[in-house]
Amino acid sequence: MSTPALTSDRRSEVRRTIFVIDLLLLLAPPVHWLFSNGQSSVWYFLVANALVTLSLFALWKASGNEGEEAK
Amino acid sequence: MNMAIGYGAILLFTALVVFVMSRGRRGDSSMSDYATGGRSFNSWFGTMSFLNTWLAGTVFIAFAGLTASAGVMGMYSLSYSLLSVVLMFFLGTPVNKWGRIHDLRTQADLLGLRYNSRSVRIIAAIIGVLASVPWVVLGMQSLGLVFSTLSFGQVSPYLAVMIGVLFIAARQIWTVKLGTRGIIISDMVQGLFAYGIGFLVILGLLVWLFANGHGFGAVAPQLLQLPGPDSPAGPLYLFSLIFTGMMGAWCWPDLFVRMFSVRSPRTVQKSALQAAPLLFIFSAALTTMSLLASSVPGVSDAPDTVWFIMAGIGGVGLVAVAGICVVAATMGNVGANLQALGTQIANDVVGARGEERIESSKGAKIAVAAVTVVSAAVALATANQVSGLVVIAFVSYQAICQLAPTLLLGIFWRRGTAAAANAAMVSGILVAAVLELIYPSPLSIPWLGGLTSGVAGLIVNLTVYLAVSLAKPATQAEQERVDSLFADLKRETVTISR
Repeated sequence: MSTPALTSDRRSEVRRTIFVIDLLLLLAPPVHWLFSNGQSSVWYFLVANALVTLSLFALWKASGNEGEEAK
Repeated sequence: MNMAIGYGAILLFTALVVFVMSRGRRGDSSMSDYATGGRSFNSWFGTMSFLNTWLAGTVFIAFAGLTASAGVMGMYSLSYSLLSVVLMFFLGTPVNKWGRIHDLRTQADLLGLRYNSRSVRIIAAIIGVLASVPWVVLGMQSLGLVFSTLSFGQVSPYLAVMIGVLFIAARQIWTVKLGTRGIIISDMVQGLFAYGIGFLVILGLLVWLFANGHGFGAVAPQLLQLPGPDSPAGPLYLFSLIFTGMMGAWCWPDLFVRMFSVRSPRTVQKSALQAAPLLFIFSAALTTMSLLASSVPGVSDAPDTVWFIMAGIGGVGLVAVAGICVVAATMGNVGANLQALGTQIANDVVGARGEERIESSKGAKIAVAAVTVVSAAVALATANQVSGLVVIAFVSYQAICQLAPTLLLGIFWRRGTAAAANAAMVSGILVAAVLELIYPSPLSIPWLGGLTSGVAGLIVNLTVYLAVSLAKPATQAEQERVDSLFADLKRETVTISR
């Protein structure tokens, strides 16, 4: 059974959501404060940035073929 | 003998880069081809040109040194770099598509089109040039450390700076001749060496550090702290640094034009997709290595040399490889900057004065050569006063990010107007400049919770942009023109207008 393709609007919504999550992970001061002491600060940077790296793959999948020029 | 190995390695690598560049030579006689490389590159070239422009040689020196001396705080560069890649993904479609349809060559060119305004174009071009030149000068001077280290004590630090400046200036002969096409081809070679071989070196150093008792447990506790709610720097200081870096990223003219050089919007997105893991793995490894190296004797006395101190473990050969990594990264960044600045001066400052668009690349080549000579002269004249230039470079970052609201809202929001853009850029820079004088970088502003002058300027900048755009909307004809620009982005096929 195939998964129904997402509409363009739905894909835009998914991309915006991913963007907001990325911003919250890396920019939100309360997240910085939560991991402000000890080795957890190092792991925060490594894990949060790894998640944002993975989010690029999600963005790619959520874009379908949008942006591809017709030949 | 050691010096011959070190300097010889740099010369051999440079010869390889020039050889590869020259093989990719084509007759880029038009301004458009010279500035964009014919908009023909695939995603791997897009990825490497982004990395080689973004990760300058200073990542091995100043940024590694910052992490070795200030601790985990130095890893903030990882966060803003990845957020910049996320932004690249979203910018890909409008920037690449408008670039192709309207034959855009520079960042200022795109702003001139979006706002239909010569003043926006010129102001943006001037901000871009003035903010970038200190970084070019610093990039040239940073090679002094490479030539000093690779001389193994035979050349004084001052003479090493002179050699570094003259070397990188001479390398620009090929930048001037071959334009963006040459730069992007050389970025591939330089990038593979700087971040590919560089990563393998870092990996080896990490293994050595863990095996020799320099794990996370050996890092001083004060180096494992981020500014919290009660910190002297202010609770918003870290946010402010990351936010400034992210906002400023695509305001740099050299980085922005990379999105014009690849085949299609989807190619820009694919370049971002490929750049993210490479950037993460390389930068995470480099900052982690620098942090762990803080417990190695001698590093705290000269943190900026952490890269070479650690490479010294492997002897002369590894120090030479480490030097090539810095040179390779610097070549990419300095070359891209000079090429973008020269093109922007010819296309958007001189060119914007006339009615006809400049079609020949001759003016751009002269401008690139002129910017190279001026930058090299400033670098040589200030070779003894590097600390003063570092301050100017910090200030220039606070200035360049003031382009962000005009640039990003112009691309993603239809209602921004030229009057709003001009008022926002000027007010943002003025506020940032005044606050920068009172609270010089890297200090934060205590009564703003630790915000830096750049972010304070951005708040004013954004407020002015929105207020002017909403209070004095565009005329109906202008709004229809902007709507039509955005409508182009929805079309599958594009029609070239020029």
